[in-house]
Amino acid sequence: MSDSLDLKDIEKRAFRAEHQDGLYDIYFGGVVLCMTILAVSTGGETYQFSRFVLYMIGLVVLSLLFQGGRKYITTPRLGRVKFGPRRQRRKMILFLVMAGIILVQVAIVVGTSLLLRNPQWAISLGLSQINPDFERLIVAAISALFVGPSMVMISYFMDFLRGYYIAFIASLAVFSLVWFHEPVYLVIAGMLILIPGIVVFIRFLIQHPLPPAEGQL
Amino acid sequence: MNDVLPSSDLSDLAEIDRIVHEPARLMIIAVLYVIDSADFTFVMNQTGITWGNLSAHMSKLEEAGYIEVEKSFKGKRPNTMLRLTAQGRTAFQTYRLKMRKLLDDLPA
Repeated sequence: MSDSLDLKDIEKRAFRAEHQDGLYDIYFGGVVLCMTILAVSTGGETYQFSRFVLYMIGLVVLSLLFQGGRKYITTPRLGRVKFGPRRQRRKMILFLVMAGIILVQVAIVVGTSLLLRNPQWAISLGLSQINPDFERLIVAAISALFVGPSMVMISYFMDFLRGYYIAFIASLAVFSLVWFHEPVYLVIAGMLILIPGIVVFIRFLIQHPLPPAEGQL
Repeated sequence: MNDVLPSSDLSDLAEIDRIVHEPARLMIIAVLYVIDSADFTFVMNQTGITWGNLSAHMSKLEEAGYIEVEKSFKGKRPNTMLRLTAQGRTAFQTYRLKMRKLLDDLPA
């Protein structure tokens, strides 16, 4: 291995150290579980707004737990680090890529909504003649593509290897949800992401006991 | 010995920066070289050096002007951030080049 490769390896290991705590897994597992609230159809349209509010509260609580975990559990054990311009550049590229993906997703949602409101457009595009099963398959695939590529991009730019697993499980869950209309797939997927996250988190706590504060030495 | 290493290379060996050459300090510098800055805990975790040893090596590196130490408080806790200076970066680069040249010149 060349000298420069060794330095790259040191940098990569230092950067990946930030993902040793399992908090990302717990966070994303929680997000998938929160999505179950939206997928449950009990109460129909009446409780749609309440479910959305509950989902948003869930996301806020998860974000607070994640930030709190990083601040009070991870950082005191792993220490503080600021990475160089290469990582800053990658962060900026990730931001731009994510912005692009979100724009594409918004365009798909707006386009679909326009086609639903204007059936004559759908007819002129030949979309009304699509087999309903095939149509559901397309919707399921597009929904899975909403989740998968975003998570793959995050994993790639953040050097977060378990992120690829999360991307796969979450995409499969969303696909299954649309295809089978059963929120249970989201629960299974959420647990498949959450449980390894908790295991990684416990292992992290065992491997990294809290060091004494600088002032106490 | 002259059959193995030319005398000019031997003199190069004597010019190796001993501050950088010490294994523990070399690890510390290598970690600080690839990042912008980090605190004691992070460097300790990455290098596996104990707190006491790290403190001693940091003092030597600071004396040599290779690292700068920035003391602050995070809440009520003191926090020391460490950063490789431009001089430290140059010293590490020079060390790498010299070592590479010396080792490459050695017969297999």
